[in-house]
Amino acid sequence: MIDFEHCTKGYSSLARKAVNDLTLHIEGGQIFGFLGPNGAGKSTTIKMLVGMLHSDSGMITIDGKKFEGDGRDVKSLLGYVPDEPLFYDKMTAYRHLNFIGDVFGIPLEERQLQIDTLSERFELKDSLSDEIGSFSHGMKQKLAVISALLHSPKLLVLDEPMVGLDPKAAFLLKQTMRMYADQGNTVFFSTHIMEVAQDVCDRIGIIDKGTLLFDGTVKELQTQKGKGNENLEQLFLDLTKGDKH
Amino acid sequence: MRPKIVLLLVRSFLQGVKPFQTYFARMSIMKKHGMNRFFTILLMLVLAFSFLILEGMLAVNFYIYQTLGALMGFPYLGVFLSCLVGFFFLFIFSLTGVSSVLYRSKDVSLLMTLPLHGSEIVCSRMVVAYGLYGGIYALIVVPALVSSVFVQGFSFMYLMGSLFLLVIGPLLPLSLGMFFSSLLLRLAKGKQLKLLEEVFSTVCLLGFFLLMMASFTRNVGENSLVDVDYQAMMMTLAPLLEDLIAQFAFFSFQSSTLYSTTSLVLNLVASLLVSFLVFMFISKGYQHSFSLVLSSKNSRLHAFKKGGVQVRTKNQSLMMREIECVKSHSVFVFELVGELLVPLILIGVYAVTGVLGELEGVVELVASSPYFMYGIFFAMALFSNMSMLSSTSVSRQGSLFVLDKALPLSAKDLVRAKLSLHIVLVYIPNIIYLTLALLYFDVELVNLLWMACLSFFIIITCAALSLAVDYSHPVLDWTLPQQAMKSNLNGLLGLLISLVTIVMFAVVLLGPVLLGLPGYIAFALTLLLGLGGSYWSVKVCIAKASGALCR
Repeated sequence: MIDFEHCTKGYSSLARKAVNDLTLHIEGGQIFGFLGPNGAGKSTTIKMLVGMLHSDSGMITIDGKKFEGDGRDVKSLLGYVPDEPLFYDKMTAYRHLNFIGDVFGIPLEERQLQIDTLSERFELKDSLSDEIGSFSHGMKQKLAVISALLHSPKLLVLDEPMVGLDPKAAFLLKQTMRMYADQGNTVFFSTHIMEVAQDVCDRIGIIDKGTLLFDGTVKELQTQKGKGNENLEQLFLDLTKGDKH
Repeated sequence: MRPKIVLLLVRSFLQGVKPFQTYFARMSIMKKHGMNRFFTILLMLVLAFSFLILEGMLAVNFYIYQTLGALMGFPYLGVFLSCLVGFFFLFIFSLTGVSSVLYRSKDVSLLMTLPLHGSEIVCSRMVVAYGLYGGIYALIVVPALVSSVFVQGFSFMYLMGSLFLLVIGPLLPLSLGMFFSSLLLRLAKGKQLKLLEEVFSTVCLLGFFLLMMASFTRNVGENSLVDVDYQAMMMTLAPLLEDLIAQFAFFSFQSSTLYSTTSLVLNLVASLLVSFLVFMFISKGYQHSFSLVLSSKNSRLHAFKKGGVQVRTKNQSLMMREIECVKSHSVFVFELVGELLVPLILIGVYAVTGVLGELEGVVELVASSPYFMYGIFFAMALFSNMSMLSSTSVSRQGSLFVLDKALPLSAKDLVRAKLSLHIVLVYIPNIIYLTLALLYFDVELVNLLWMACLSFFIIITCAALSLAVDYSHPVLDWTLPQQAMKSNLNGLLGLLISLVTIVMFAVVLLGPVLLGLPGYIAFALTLLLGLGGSYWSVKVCIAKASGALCR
């Protein structure tokens, strides 16, 4: 479903590469967790994946399609939840969802059904007529998830989606991601929360200083490190040479 | 490209950003609170009056040139000049703002993740830019069109041509502004060339504006607005104007749309063609340009990381934070540089136009007057205080204002830092300008002592009151930085308050002198006003800041 081939991205000639020669293949129907410390290159990778940033070299394909020109074909396949919710603050949530529906050309009945189902699931139905500017961070995050799922994308990309969500909403999101992947779609998300990654992910990738250190299942990581009993947090700290406290 | 999607994007921008409503937001707040209704009405009247004065001055100016044109055998000289001025004004103005509309506006990041053609986004942003900036062209051309009726008469063709000119006229300068802005962005690999874009534009724009004003004051006689010596104008200006007409033939052709259908059609085709070519240029590689902008934002973040550890006082840190806030958007830098450089630009323009030489003659006449030094003092006070540096400094923090509430800072800390920076930015140049003016006009330098003292209090009073206005109703939820500055009514209110403050100081300083009292009494009274005024205004400002932090 997703192919990164030798992707490199740097922000200036002097600084080290934000992402260095990233090669990664992710099958469809999986939840892929992208882990790494702060500044490891997770958000840069995600921004390249959704077409906001161009890589300096290498290629990204999604469902066999390359980003060409404005990448419209590829973008129509994916739903994106950014690390900071992107909205028109003066719009109501309804108006925003309609805007997304119009852009993706979602028919009225399907749109209505999706908005009803998703807003009920994420308990946002009563706030749909309010201005987004009045929403809390958690509510904006929920709206971003609903917007991303509105057109039933083949690939759902989420950048730190659990930040700001209450426990119930976080649980619902994890459940939604699972359901979504089980339907044959792909979920690619970055997180700092190891428990979430361990609970939900079919596969994980660990990146540090722009370099992919590991790609596989948690089990494979345990086997590779010869520490079958250690949890993901300990393995992660070991791999990224973090302190164990 | 799907026209329906373009319309949807434009509509969404208008609904989601509400760019024109921020101007009136403050008035609606006042109405909601049911307070200061009288003040609101007064303010609206003052604003309307100021606007009419400006338009009236332009109309008289263009009327004079229109009449001169009739004498020279070029019937639409006033309209020609308005097209020329409108073009350059809008072109320079758009150079600084369109890159934020095209690439840097917060909502562009949202659009870039959606399956939209680059051309659809570009087309919608061009329409938005036309809506935001097109009015500037009308502000300059409408007075010429109105005044031209009094010279050339009115006809149906003239009406149609005028409407056409107002609609189509902004296309060319805006398109070229967008073209150069995009070109610069690509050449600079997404980095904002602040020095080139902002300082150059600011200097050009202000220079241009002052040139217009200088031209106006040169033409008008002492007894009447239309008391003009056309013979003298013919002698001095005709060759220059003939050169202008020859060198800027396009604007001559543009002004002929008022009476020629062929010109009208050709003008339409030319404007649309240029706009289309610019649209194609920006659309091609729009995605790449956006990626460059995003990359350059990140590379700036990396650059900050390299800075070493430094210990500063709380006040210094807050002042540095304020500078970073100004640097965060080109519009803020534009405003700051422009307002601080006004006297220098004015001198430059006057020197170029020869007005400086004429002024020297006038100065020789009035320099012997005992009030001359007061004139210098208050002229410099006007330059230093008629600014928006302080009156929108809370609004320009935008959503980051919430940090002020979260940090363990008192309203006093925040106000002190803002005013300290204001003093550094405004008071030091003010002293430099005063010193230079005293030296130039051969006024005893000892006068600098009382001038420096009073100037300090005037600047503090004006800045604190302007800041209080912004703290009382800050415009924080802006999408385009222009909404925090130019479209922010707090700025205009601040200007008005500064003007009233300076007039009050002038009355207290000059009143006793005019009444024949010794100068030191006038100084003592003004000093008293300065001390009391600045103490009270800082108190008001802190109270308003406290209110804003508690809301």
